[in-house]
Amino acid sequence: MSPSLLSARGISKSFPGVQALQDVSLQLNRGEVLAVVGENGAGKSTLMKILGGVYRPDAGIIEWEGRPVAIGQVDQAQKLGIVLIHQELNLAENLDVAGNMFLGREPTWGGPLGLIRPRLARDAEPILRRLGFDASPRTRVAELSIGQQQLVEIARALSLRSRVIIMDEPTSSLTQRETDRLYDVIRDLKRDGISVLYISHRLKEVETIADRVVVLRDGRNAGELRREEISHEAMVRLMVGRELRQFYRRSRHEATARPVLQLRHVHWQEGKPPISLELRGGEIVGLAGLIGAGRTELAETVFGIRRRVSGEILLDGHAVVVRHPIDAIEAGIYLVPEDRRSQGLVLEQTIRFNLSLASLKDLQRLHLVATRREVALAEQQRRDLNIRCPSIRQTVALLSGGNQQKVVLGKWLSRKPRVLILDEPTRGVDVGAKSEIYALMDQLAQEGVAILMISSDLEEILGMSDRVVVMHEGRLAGELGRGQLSEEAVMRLATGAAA
Amino acid sequence: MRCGIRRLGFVTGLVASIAFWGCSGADSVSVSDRPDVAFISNNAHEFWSIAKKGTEAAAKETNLKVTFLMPPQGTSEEQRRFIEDLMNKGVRAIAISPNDSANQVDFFRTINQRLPVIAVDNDLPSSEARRCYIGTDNVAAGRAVGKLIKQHVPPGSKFMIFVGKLDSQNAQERRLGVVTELAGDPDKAKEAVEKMNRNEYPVQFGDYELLGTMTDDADQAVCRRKAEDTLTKYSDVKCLVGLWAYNPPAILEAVVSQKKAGQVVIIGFDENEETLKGIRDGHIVGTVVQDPYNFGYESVKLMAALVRGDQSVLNRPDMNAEKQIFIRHRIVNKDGQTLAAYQDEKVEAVEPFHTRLKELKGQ
Amino acid sequence: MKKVIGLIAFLAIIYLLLLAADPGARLAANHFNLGRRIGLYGIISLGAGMLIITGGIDLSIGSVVGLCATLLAMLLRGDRFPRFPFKGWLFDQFNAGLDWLGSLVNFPEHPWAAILLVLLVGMGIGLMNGVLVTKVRVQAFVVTLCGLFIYRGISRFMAEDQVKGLGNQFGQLKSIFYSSEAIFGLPMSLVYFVGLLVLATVFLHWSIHGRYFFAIGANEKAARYSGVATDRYKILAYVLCSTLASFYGVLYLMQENSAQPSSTGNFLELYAIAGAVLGGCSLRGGEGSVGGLVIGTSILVLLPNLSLMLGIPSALEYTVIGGALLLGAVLDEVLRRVGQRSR
Repeated sequence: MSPSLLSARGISKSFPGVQALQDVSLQLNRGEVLAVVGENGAGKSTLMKILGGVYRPDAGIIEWEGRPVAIGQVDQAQKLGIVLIHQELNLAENLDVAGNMFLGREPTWGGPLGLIRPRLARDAEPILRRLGFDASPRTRVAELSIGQQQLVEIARALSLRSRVIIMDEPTSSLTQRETDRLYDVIRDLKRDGISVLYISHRLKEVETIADRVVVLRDGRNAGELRREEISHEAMVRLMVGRELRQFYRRSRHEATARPVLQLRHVHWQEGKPPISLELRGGEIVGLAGLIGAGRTELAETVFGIRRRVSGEILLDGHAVVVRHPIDAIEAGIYLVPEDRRSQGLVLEQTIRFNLSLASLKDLQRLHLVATRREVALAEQQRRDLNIRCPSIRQTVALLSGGNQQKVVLGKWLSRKPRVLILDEPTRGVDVGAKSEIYALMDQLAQEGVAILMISSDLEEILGMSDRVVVMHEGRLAGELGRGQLSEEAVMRLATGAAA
Repeated sequence: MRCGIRRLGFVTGLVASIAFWGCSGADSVSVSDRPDVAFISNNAHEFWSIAKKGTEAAAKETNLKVTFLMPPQGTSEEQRRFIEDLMNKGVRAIAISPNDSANQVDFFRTINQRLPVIAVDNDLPSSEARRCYIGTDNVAAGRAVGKLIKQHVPPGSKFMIFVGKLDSQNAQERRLGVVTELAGDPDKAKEAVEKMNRNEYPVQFGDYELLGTMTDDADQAVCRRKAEDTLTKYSDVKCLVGLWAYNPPAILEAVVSQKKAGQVVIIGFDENEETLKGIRDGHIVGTVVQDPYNFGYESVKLMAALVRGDQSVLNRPDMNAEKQIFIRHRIVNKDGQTLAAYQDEKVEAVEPFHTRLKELKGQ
Repeated sequence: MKKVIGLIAFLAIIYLLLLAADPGARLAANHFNLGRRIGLYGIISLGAGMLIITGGIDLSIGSVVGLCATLLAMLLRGDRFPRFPFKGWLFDQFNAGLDWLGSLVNFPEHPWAAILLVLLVGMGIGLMNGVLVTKVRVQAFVVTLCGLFIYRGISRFMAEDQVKGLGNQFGQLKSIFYSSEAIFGLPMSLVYFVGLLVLATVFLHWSIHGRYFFAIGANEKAARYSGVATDRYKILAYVLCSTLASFYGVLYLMQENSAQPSSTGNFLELYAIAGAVLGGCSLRGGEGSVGGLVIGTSILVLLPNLSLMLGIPSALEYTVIGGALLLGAVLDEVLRRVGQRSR
């Protein structure tokens, strides 16, 4: 048997205070889609970054076509034909598609000043067409949707004549349609003999696309599944080391009759049809829609980030003035924002700093931080939410996505929420933490909190919501009760087909 | 990290031992036969590098060690810092061109009690604040500029003055000198200066009209720009006067760039190379020069005597009752001719003057 | 914390070099002088540092110092303020306001009122900077760079380009702000600095407001999403910075006995920012400590003293300062890397 294309053996890597990988091995064959799955902090991203040349391993051997190679830098990896597409896209927003694809190696005529733009576009065209990219290569990246940007990254990887493409959470910001397109692209790549290393938290995707699955747990190999062995349950079993009986956990109970939060004719843009919405205590309302439908904007308007141009917001039947998040927080309306890294967390600061940030006014004595109470609060949240970290003095940036999200949630949970708005609460969060977050939402609902959950993950919307509200192009497209819920029904409303 | 700290400890220990060795070397400020004295200028311009030559020559003759310091920003604050540090370093006398003489009096009074202070270029208005003064009579030098205007600019003309900063004593005095000479009478001059301070331009005195005083914060490029703007705005301006060393070259460049050479009379101050070249070429009618070499030379000579206990120098014949020694200014023009309006002024031709200057600078 | 250890070592090295450089450097008098300078520079570094921690920047510090020192000198001298040479309702009102102010208080007799007014002017400038940055959303760099020009021009116009000195009056004030050695024989500026230092430590490191400063500097959006009144705190940072600059102006006048409208405070903002950044504040915001500021300022003050004590020509002084700082920064980075590797 010929040696596998890329193989890693005995890889170990540690960061200050964390053993990220220990003696991890994997093989990747030609034209294979290998999924790497694992819980929060299982070491998937670290392993991918080592293969992509971002990190240097502390120990272990990497072999390329059977010969040991040293991959210490990104360009060394690229020379071999390995390209890593990061979870956070690395595109220059002010450049056009072609410019991004060939950034740093623009074809030139005699010297660096002879940059020929038409030729860039011409070179980009066939690659983009192969990916089914429908916009012009001259479009500025800032004008593209996230899904299209993802395709640009892949196009860039192809233009490098890559033989291995590593995709870290490629679908976390994609709509269903864009995800389907990505699958087609991956299948095409496979046919051309290109191998794909695919990291995802969405096990359903892995089931669909992967030829083989490598499962990591706590920085070690936890097991491997061949094509015929791949199933949701099998993966979860290996990932958490136990059976997860129920993934989406919803206990049946009655919502309060009286609405907690009412939006009356609210909008953030002049001249748009206003939005009215009610949330009752103890219910979880899913807010579905395509990207750009205005879901995040609505949440931001309720939370006081965006200026409301019309309508009013009522809490327990009384109008509340929300001009700034301070007002919303005062009223007990909290938002877990869409982008936790830029909106939810002060990344360079500690877990404790972040957990107490929103509650400092209650943790003060004579304007000074009551440290003992602050530590107690942080420790309690850490326990309650099962935040995995060596200490609450750990910097948040070093946590995995799931644990970071728990910190954002913890910031609000110590404050007794009345209304909790969750914007993509499980994006970039792995399955273990996901189920913990679902359990938490369920518990909060039982305690009478009104929850509005924005999500692009239909499975999640259907699994968790008592009711689903769908938005389309900045307006409410419709509402679906528990009995009417189905993927098709939601998609019909979200795409405007039912209007 | 532990390794890093150990290395740090090593470096610190090494430095400590050097420090200890240094400490054991000299534990008291010794009185050697080659005393330290200091000369502090008021800024870092070329003018003072000529004075430095003078201090070096005198230091050799008198066996002194001279520390020559030029405050880069030209503020009284820097001068204070230099003096404080020099006194701790053990200098025995200080010659200084005070930046803000009026308000540094109290400070220099305390210094002068501890060691001899000689004011250079800019006098301190209290006999207790310094032992004596060496420098140009700036009002008289300003009058010499006035005489150049009278000689070369037709009566009834408009002119403009350029100077670095007006909050400097010598700028004020020179301008006062110009105005006094042109107005012909001190009372009228005073009245005119008050009007100027209130920015009520143009000011008329004698046969001339002053359009304004342009300052540039000692920035030659700014001066040039303002001179260009002046030529654009006042097409009838007949004469531009620069009172600080770099002003005349800046004005000359502006006049040439505006294609007004020959139409506008330029009068300068000090001996910038470009100014002298301008005189040689006939673009600048003349400049009033001071004698910085002798500022340096004479002040070190005086300090040498005072440090060695010879108080008699304070009664030198060239010293007036206020203990001031005026080092004569001179007019430098193209051919050294004494013209009608130059009465009582020393005049020198540009060529011999320039040759002597180059020798002084060691070029 | 690691950063501060490296800095302390750097400061110690400079200090030991200074002691070795010249016997005069070891005198108590030299330490007194150094203490006074640290006190003075420290006050503005503190303001600049707190502002930088929130992610702001103030380039107008030096001009504010010049304006406040000049204004205070003129008020104390009882000088007449020049009129705006323009006609029009706004300027008439302004001139009338000046008259009204002059008739309200006889400042030469009530010097404390003058000092209070000057501090209020500093506060007002900070407020204006802050509002322009947060509400009008002009870049801080632009707002304060314009301030640098504007305030310098105002002080020169106001003083009609004359040096404004106090002569030998106001001995009591000078004693309180400068010459007194009543408190443990320490220079007064150092006494004020230590006092402000204590307040700043409590504010920045112990109070909830300091937490907000750090949060805003590191991630303003996240702070806003957590219910921090970001605009208000940013304005507060500008106000603190400019008020401390005006206080420096007061101390400067009392020490130098005069204000030079065209040069007092020139380049001071660069020293203040350098002291803060050297002391561990990141210009990106969200990083820094009061302790680091003290060390950064001390290094900045010790270097020129060292240069003179070593007998280095004054023309090379800036080069010595710049070179030493660069060396320190390089050493700091290298040490940190060594530290990381050995762990």
